[in-house]
Amino acid sequence: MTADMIVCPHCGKENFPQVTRCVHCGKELEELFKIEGVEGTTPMPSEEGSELPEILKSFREEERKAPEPTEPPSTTEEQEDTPALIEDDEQSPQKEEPEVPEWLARIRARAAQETDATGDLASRAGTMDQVQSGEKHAEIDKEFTSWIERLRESKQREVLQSARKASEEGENAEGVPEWLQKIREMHPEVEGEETQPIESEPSEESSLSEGAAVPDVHESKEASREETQPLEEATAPTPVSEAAQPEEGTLAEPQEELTEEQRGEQLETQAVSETKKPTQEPKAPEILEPIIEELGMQPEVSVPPEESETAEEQSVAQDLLLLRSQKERAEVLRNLIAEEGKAFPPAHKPKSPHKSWYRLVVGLFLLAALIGTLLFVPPPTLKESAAPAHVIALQEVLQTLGSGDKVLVVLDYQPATSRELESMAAPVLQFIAERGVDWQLLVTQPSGLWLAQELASTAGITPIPEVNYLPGGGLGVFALAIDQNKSLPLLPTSLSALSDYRAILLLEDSGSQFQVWMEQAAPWLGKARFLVLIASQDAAVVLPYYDSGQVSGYAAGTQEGALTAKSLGQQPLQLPHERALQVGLITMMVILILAMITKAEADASERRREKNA
Amino acid sequence: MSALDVVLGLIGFALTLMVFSYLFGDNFFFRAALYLLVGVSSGYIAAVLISKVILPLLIAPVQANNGQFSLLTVVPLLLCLLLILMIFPRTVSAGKLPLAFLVGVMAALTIAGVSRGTLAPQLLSIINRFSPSLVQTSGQPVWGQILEAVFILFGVVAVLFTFHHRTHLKGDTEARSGLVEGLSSVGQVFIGITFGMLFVGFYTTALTALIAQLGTLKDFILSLITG
Repeated sequence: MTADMIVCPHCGKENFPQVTRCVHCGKELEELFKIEGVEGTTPMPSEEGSELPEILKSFREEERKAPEPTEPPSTTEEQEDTPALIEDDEQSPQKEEPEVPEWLARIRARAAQETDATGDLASRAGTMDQVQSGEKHAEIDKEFTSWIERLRESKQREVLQSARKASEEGENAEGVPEWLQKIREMHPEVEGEETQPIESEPSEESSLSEGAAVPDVHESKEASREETQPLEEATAPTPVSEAAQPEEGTLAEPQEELTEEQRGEQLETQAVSETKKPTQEPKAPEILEPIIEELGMQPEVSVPPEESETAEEQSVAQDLLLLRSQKERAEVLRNLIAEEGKAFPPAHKPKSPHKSWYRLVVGLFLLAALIGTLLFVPPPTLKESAAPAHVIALQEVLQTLGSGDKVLVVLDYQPATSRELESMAAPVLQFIAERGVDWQLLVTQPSGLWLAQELASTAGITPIPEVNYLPGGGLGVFALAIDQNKSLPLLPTSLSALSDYRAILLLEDSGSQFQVWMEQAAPWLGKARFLVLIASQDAAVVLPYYDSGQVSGYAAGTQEGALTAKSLGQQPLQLPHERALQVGLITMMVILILAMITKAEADASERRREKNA
Repeated sequence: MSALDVVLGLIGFALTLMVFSYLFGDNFFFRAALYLLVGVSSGYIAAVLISKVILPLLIAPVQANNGQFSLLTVVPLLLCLLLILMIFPRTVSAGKLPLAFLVGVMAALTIAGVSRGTLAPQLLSIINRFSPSLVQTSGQPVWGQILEAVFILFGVVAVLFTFHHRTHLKGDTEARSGLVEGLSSVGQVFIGITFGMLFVGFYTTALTALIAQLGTLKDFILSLITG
């Protein structure tokens, strides 16, 4: 076995003679690969090395005798020195290219297209990506090509191992010639397809044995077609494969030497192949053609014995499986590239019909409870209760305001919460208007323009003061806070600098907007300047700022708003029905408790099921 | 009640019922009310922005300079034009300049604002709770104040440890120490209480709005009945 090893010229380590790339350093071994087994520079196996030149000579004899008008008359040198001949043949494709037969030119074109097929798929699939990021796509193509090569190499190794195992089990005894074993070892991917070139090269020297071998070829073709039927069905015929069809007509030339029966059978087979498998026929010539060029021989027309057909069919099946795997992966890659950048479709979850019923029942129950309370339960009077500390602080600051003090009222709430905020803010506005405070309205949301008018009319304030709109959100607040000298022309002109206001009353329904004022404006204005009326949903957000002294006082929700109004001596506006509010809260608590119990029960049932399972 | 009030009240009543129809699932009436809301809001906001922002703050400064060309007034106009170029696929990159400017300024303001307006004042507030003037009166400790200050400090530390994810090797696996794990659990309780209070606040606000709307509808129907 060590005699078969070849030495990598790059790293100096040994490799199997069949590999095309060094397994140690990963560099190409193609040159060594070509020389090995042909020129005899590497020691050949003892049982094979002595026979190969004779076979090659016999091939040269056949080639010389063949009436090939386009073949250059250089056979004398070839007979004298086989290695030199092979070297010439390696260089010959460029010289002989215009003289190559048409069928071979087509096969070569097909082979070139097939070789590029995977890369072409990937490159065509990502056209948009190519336009947007050509370099990235080139990298993807490169990686994909190397990935395909690695796949092929690994497949070669596997097939080689199986071929060696088969040869050890007595393939020689089955009559496989030595030259075929050599070819299989060098190019294991073409195993089983060496009979295909019978169509590709005409030879008048086709003996009776060749003619007798033709039916075997057809049998192997048919067998391979049967095995590749799923592949052909899975992959649509490409224009290339369709273009390759006519060559079969031209490839029928070598069958002039055949008998009429054999010719008829061949024609039938070709007709069947044209209808069934348009892409199958060119594969064997395409793969064998480089080997033929390497060996400097004409395509093999002899047919191995019938006993080897099963092994050949298996080899063909392996090759086709490999090809199908490559195509499928290329298809997957193409789909992935096509889907790149697109949003994933939302996962389809079948709707449970029970959920909508639960929602309907719970919603209707809540609505019925609220409507019933509103209709049949009279609203309670406001209880006399002790106001919280932050409400008392708010009331104390408001009562210190007097005539001449400037107060900026900032409306920063949505229409949905306007009822709650208006019931809190209207008494306060009435109070500061009665005290003769100079107050101005500022809104930070477009809807605030008409909400301010609504608020003023609710509070009974006439005339309605001018409403100033501050665009820009947080940036606008920051600009307003730092513009102490009113030098920025983009800010509302009727407003004074924020530092000129004795107090800034924020009407908020959003914790985040409240924080914007605390973070962008408060650091520039100092403490004890902000008063807050906020919806109950954000009461928890204001509390820390009150504790830190950044907010002088605040009231959250309608109840605290009513307490503030009473402490200021104002009549609270009509509050939302307190009983209905209590009913709604109780309903929600009951629903939550029932949901928790149901969830716990469902979890326990699930655990029991898993335990039993 | 005027005819306009009746018409507006009927429209409001119909829209309310259309929104309530979501209880039966997503349907045409709910979506129609939703589209109406979005369409009217968008139109109103666009009108306000044109009349209150674009014309007075963007166009007028360029014109009202007594014939003198001011470069400062052109800058926002130029940035807006670059933003408009983002409509076209070939010139999308031109809009990145104003966006980058905007995002950069917003990020800087947010970081500075959070540190100056939230973190520093509230940390100082926690520290100030331990000031002698608060925890003692005439030389005697006020245990209530001390307990409250300790409790608040403990809550803050526990919540901070909830977001502490440093681990160390414990045997073959990584794990947080027992102290960190315990404090993290306590911190989760504090966070849960905060979220619970936020939920109650949201629900209360929504319920208040619903009750107010139902009360308005009740008054409207009663006024129709009684004339």
